Amino acid sequence: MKQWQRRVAPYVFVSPFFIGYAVFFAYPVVHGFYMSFFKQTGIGSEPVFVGLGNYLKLFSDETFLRSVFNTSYYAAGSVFLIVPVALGLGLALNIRRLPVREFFRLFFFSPLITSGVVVAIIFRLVFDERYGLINNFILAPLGFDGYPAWLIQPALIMPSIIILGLWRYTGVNAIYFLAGLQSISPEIWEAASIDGANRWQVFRHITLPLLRPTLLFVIIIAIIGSYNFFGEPYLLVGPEGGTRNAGLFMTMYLYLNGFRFMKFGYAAAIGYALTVIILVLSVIQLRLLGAFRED
Amino acid sequence: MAVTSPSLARRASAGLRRNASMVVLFLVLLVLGVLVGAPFVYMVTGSFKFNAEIFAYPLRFIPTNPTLENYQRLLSGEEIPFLRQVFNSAVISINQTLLSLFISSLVGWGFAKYEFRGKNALFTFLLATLMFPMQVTLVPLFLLMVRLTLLDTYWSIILPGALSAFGVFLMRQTMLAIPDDLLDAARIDGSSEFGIYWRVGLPLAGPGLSILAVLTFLGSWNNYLWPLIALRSDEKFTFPVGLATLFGLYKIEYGMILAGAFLATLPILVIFVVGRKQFVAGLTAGAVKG
Amino acid sequence: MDTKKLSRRDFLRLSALTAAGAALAACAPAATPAPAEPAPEEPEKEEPTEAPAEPEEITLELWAFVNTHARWFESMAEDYKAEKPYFNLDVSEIAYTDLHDKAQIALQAGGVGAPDFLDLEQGRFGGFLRGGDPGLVDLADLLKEGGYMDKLVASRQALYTYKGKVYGVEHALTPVVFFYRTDVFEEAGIDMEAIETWDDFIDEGKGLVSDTVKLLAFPNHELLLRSRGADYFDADGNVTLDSDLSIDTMDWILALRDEHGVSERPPADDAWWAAIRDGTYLSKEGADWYAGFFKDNVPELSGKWRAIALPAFEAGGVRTSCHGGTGSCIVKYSDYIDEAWDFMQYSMLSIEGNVRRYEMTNLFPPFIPAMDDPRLHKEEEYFDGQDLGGLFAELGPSVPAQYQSPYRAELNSNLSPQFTDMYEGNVTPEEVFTQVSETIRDVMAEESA
Repeated sequence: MKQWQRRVAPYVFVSPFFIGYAVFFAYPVVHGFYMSFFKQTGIGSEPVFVGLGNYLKLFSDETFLRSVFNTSYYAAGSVFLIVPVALGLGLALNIRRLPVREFFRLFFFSPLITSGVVVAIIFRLVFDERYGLINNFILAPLGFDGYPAWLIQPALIMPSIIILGLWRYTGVNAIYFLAGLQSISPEIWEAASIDGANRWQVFRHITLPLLRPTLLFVIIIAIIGSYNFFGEPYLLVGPEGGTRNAGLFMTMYLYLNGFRFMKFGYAAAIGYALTVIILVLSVIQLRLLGAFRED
Repeated sequence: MAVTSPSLARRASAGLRRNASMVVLFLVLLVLGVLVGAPFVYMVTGSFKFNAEIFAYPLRFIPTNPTLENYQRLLSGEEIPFLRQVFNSAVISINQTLLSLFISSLVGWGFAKYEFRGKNALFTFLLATLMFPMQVTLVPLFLLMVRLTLLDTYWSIILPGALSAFGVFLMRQTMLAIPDDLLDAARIDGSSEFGIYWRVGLPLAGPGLSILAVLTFLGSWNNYLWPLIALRSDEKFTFPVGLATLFGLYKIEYGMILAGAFLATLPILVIFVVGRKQFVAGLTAGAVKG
Repeated sequence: MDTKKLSRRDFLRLSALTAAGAALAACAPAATPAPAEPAPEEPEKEEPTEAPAEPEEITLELWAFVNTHARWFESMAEDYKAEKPYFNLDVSEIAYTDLHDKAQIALQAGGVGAPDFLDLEQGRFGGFLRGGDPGLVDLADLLKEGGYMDKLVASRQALYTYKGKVYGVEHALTPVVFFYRTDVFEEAGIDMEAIETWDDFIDEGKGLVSDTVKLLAFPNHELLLRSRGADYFDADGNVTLDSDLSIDTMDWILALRDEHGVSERPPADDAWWAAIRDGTYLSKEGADWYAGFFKDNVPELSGKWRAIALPAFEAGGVRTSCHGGTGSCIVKYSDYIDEAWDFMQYSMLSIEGNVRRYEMTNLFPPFIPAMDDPRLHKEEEYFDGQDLGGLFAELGPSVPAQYQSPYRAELNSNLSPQFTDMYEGNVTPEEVFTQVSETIRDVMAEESA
């Protein structure tokens, strides 16, 4: 009886996710895939089968390709700027002798407690050309002449969004690193420093390898998050991504096609292109850093 | 510890150096802290400004002519039913968090503590679902909600939001660390499998649960895109959707938006400060283990 | 290590937290309709069936994206209720982009989640026509039967008319006038009433320009183009954005800065009113509704503005244009189409309603019988005592036509992100207009194929 219960229990335990997933995600995901082979152009129109037409069109759609570039630009910023800064912050917040350490930990996490809508609106005030915080309180005192139009110049739009991302997501990533660091036994470091290793050596040869699973986790979450980014850029630079679509993310282009131009099939195809990109990047990543493991 | 005098001198100078670098580090963090905090402070002080002052030279953090008008207009409910929308957000976020905690921990427990056929395949599938962007499902999910007649209800937000592959992953990682001996001991005491999850698994997964609770709650509280589509009347809107209403085509009600933002952030802030010990412990202890 | 103890304590705290959550969640049904059951639009009072004279109480929903419209509808519904006590109107104010996006989804889903009335902005309206059946009530017969066809300004109604079907009633005539800072021009001794053409204006006003003061920000291209008798689409729905006249108009706008030095790129939306408040710009082209925006956004400049007819490109040319506009529509999936039409006549198609709308929002009526109402003509304190209504009425007959196209929303979505680049001189208007036009023509060709 007990044995039987023990064999069945895991299936019962894991079933809620898969049942719920079947209803609320699998069906929409499959339905979306089906829709991606049809052309549908507006309210009341009949879907027309176009085969791979929507997918082929993606390759010649300049706006789509721009959105892929933009999104990848942000993802690169996320992986190569936000993640390293978060790692540094995590290391700093792990130092036992740091004064008011607990306060810092909480404080750097705080940008995440505000809604993306609010963040976008506040950052319009941060970046405003004439009345913005950056131009008035950082650049002006430093003696800059002629203020940059952060949210208007195409070259500055994506850096602005990355700055927003840095502000908002560094803290939570630092906390992930902190968690990873705390699972490393302090004796390992002590042993290393007795051996005369300097700080960089300790970091490079001991801390970083031990943090690998955390790093993997954080980078994957950063990539997925980047390719799913929507609310902040949508409200910061507008649905079209601002000048020359420089802030147009793939999700925004999907939304624009699906809910403004009413091209559901095309929007679904964009969704699947997005999925493939995330999938490929994640697999590359897993290969590079090693898969999730049970330790 | 006994220390000989030459090494004492060396230690002292090393300590001095360490103190100096600590001061530098502290100052760097302080500057970063100011940069992180400034937008918040600006949000709070801006909520006491007239729109005209938010856009006026010279820019000031402290309002020269403070006003409560933004709060009065917001709370009067004449322009948007703000309090109602905050209430909607609270009901949705709390229920979604509770449901998500239960499902994620139960499923995570199944994956962490049992061996069963198909486990690896199922777990890989679960992780793969993380890759699917929410946007892919928007239109079909909307049509599904129509068919289930759940549109414009709290459940249309709560149910899909309670399923979290991320949450399952997090809980599994946390629960892996619970020693199997405890399960066996409970079985010998005659506990059912669910009883073991409930009495052994859940309590020991506390830190993981608390970080998941925080992240799920914040995610739900701040969610914008799906509520925007699934909720239709302003009486049902969550507060981010409601505040976006003030972001007009020709007029942006900055003062009111900032006031609303501050009010909506306040309860989270209070919970945060009150539960800070537990948050930090949960955030750091329970998160990811490789 | 006492992690075990710590986690237990954490768990206890967490359970306290979740218990509080449950308590809060539990009181939800008390304050609201139970979330579990989707609340159908039940009549609030159940009247006994034996009293058929007293119709059941009904509630119609309306979505609007400007609070002035919302307020006006609420005020009209309040009066209407005096005649029809069973009638309730629930007005939801939804952000501009959100409203149109949500409405499209709801109509695509066969009307589920759609309200009874929709206020649709003309720039987005075209998108609703894309699939052939927008899910809105065709008002053509109703308007004919009611004798309203001749009472509405045809060029405005054209915006909501497609293939013989009329899907909406316009809120505003949107005659464009030219607002200017009367205090500044008067002090400089410039007689604005004597201005006829843009050249006149530039010559007269040049002297007022300085580093921080410009005569005007770059004016709206679409608006100027219409004053010259063209548009982004022609009457047959062809794309004409890349016409010579269109390119010439944009070149002319850039020349205001590059040749005449009297203009510049406008600041971002957020900072626009601050620039107006600071006196950076001394004039602004705008439709009737823009008058209301001045009062709302820069009340401190009351008495310092007046308006003249829009300067023409050549002497004797058209002195106005049209800009914006919103149609009131009835959703064809509504359970109360008859009631909705009745209320629409009461509000949108009555002298009383049109006059009150002007009083509340400065939208000049596109409803001809209301145009002569003395209440439209009053001395506006904000505009230095000027009778703006008189000016609007005078320009009304020459307001140019504007043509609707199912592809306008997509054209605008492609075009609007490029204006900054044109302003900055990174691309020429000809390049942008040609490229956008070709893109839209491709879409049109593909969809008609």
